[in-house]
Amino acid sequence: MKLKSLKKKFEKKLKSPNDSLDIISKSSARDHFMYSILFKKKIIGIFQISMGTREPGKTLIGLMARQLGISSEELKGIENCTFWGADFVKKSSLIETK
Amino acid sequence: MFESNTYQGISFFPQPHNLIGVGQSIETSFRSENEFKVWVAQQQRIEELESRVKVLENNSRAKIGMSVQICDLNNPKYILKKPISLLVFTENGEYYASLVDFDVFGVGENEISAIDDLKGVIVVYFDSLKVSRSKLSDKLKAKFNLLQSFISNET
Repeated sequence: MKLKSLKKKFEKKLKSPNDSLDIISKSSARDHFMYSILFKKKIIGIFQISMGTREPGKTLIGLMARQLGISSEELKGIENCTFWGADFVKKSSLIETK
Repeated sequence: MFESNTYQGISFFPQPHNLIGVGQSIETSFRSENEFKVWVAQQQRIEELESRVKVLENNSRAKIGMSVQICDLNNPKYILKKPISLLVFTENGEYYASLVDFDVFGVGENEISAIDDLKGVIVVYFDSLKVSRSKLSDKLKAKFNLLQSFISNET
């Protein structure tokens, strides 16, 4: 997985007004890009992409996936364009279903 | 009674290079069969302990992960009310420090720089939640409340 590519895809593919899903870029901490994830105008999670990382391993990918409440495979799906905003709304554990 | 390096006519070498420094000699005279058996058992035990030390040495460089407590955030505006436990691990030659309950992490070329990086990330994470407190989901509100029990902001 390449984080540069994940960053691009994450910003584009996960933003989905039709699903009331929005991504807002926050101030960066050193080499990290921080994003707020909004669902129905509520912030449901903070996502972090570290550009200091050369090649993310299994554990880091798992940690990043946890930030989004999805599995590692689904996170890889964002980069591979097989996991979109609508999928996120269906699958993420950050989405509170009451 | 029999002399060194010979047991029941069989010549044997106690691998002195593993036991002593170069140029040193080793006393290997056994007065009884029992003494020899004890020596063999000791050598086996030493080998077993050496292999266990190797495993521990590998783990100690945070390859599996180690827990570390921090008492500050390297930022005079933020004070930790109590120590925070972090998980430090290494993967693909890079070090990571993670605040597991909050799913945030720092990266560095060694344990210290990864922890320092995470401290900066915790500050940004805390500020992000604080600024948008009214817009947080219930889960994030709970996380923010938990974080507030650790961090006090001086500003």
